[in-house]
Amino acid sequence: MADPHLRDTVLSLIAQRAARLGMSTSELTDDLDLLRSGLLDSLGFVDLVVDLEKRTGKEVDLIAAMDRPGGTTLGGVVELFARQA
Amino acid sequence: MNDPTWYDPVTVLDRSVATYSGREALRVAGRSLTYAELDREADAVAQWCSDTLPTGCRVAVLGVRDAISYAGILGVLRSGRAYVPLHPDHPEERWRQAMEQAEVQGIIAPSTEHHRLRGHTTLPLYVPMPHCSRVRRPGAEAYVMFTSGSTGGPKGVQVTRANVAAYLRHALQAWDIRPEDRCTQLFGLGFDLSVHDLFVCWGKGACLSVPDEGHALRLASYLKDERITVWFSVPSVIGLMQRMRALEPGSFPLLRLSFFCGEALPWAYASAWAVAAPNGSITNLYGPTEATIAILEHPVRTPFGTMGTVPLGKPFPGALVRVEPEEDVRTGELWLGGPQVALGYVQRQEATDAVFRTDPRGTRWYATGDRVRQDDEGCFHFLGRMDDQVKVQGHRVEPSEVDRVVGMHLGAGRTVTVAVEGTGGVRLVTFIDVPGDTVALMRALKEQLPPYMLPEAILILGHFPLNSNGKVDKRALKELANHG
Repeated sequence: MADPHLRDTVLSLIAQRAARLGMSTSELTDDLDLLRSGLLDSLGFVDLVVDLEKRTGKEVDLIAAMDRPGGTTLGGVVELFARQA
Repeated sequence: MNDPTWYDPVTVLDRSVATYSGREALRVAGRSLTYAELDREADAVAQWCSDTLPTGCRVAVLGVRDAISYAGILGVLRSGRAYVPLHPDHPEERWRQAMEQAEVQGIIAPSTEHHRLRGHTTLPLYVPMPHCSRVRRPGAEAYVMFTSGSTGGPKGVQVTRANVAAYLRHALQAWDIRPEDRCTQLFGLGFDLSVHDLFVCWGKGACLSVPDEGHALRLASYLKDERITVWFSVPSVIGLMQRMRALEPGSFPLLRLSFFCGEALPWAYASAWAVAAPNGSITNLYGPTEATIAILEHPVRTPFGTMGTVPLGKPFPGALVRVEPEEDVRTGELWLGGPQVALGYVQRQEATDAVFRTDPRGTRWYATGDRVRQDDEGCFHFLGRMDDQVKVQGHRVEPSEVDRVVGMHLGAGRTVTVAVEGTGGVRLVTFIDVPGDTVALMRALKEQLPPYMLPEAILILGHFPLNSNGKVDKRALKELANHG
């Protein structure tokens, strides 16, 4: 299970967009692909990560992260920051 | 080389197959095809078209990242027919509209996609032919590509093989692409800049490398892993890579040539790219689909500008260009003429007549709707649009086309979609003045509009702000979209 605190932060950042698309919170699972679901576009995804960097004070290697399978899922984003302890 | 058929796309590929048969032509979806292999797969498609479909008809090609899409385009052209690309990410309703308007008679798609298509069409679907011969039939039209239309929905631009030949004549003569090059294929096949990707690369015997799906965020790795030497994309990709911190000094030492097209290229982006690809040159291209791929070019040289955007450049040799003057003779709407000007919009005479004009001397012109200024050196600079059209990641969008679809679902009230400039790009926001279920509306839009035309939000207003002429004040709506 991914870090619940970090996960909540990610959820809060995507909540408005999800609501506009009619997605319920139960649909926002760890394996939800943020890009393929149409929730974010590429730029939106990068903005999300940059926003999380500011909030956590951590800097992540986005290029390497994108090469990992599941890198653009909700769980993948949380994992990305968890790795960067 | 003065033979008008020398640069015909079919002839261009045939020459490369004869010269470079054993060289790698295409890397896609984990496969690698030589020119000889691509040639055989294209012949199988040409044979199927000849055996199954009416002469000279149009054939849809589902633009998935699969060798069949590429062989499909080549095979359709070889059979003397024109192709109509369908974007895999677009809703099926959009495909249906395109196929109906263009009177498509058959579809090329990998067998894995047939089930998805069978529910929507009774047209014949491509199956590889057991035996095939070399099919080459003359054909006038090359493709029909759909672009956003302000009234009446998407417009299909009819482009001829002679139009494409005129583009290739310049591209293959002017740009130094070599057989050992690895070229990108980033543009969707439903975007006419993909025609450049395919035929400029193959015309020089180089290798076309198609990234895997979802690669927009993996472009830096793709560039390195595939040892890319020739790049072509929309400028907004630079912004994306910059934000990913992928553009470090010297990141891409192998890049020799980079081309950008589809939207304005900010100087800041050009500079960032030059730092990441220090051994390469940058060329900015400009051109609407109606004038075939690109028609102005600007080699980006030092000293780089610090503000604003890179000029659109000067016309290709043979292209005709004029400015319909406004306040002074050098500023106004850009009109394009010459051998690259397309036939018009399929089944849309009124829309065609509105922008394709013939002057008293019999020269055909396309009025671009782009406001430009020509400087003392003859170089064109982009000033803006005459209408509301915007570019979203290089895609042309008429906000009123979104309004039309929203209006169809609402049945009452007014709809106004505005485009607002945010960090990294343009986004659309739709306002409606009647109460409605915006979530259901968004779902409905998803079924009819391509992803880049979907508004980021649909907002309900009691009353639209009006300007002093009593019209909806779009500037005020943009303010609301930005801050509301």
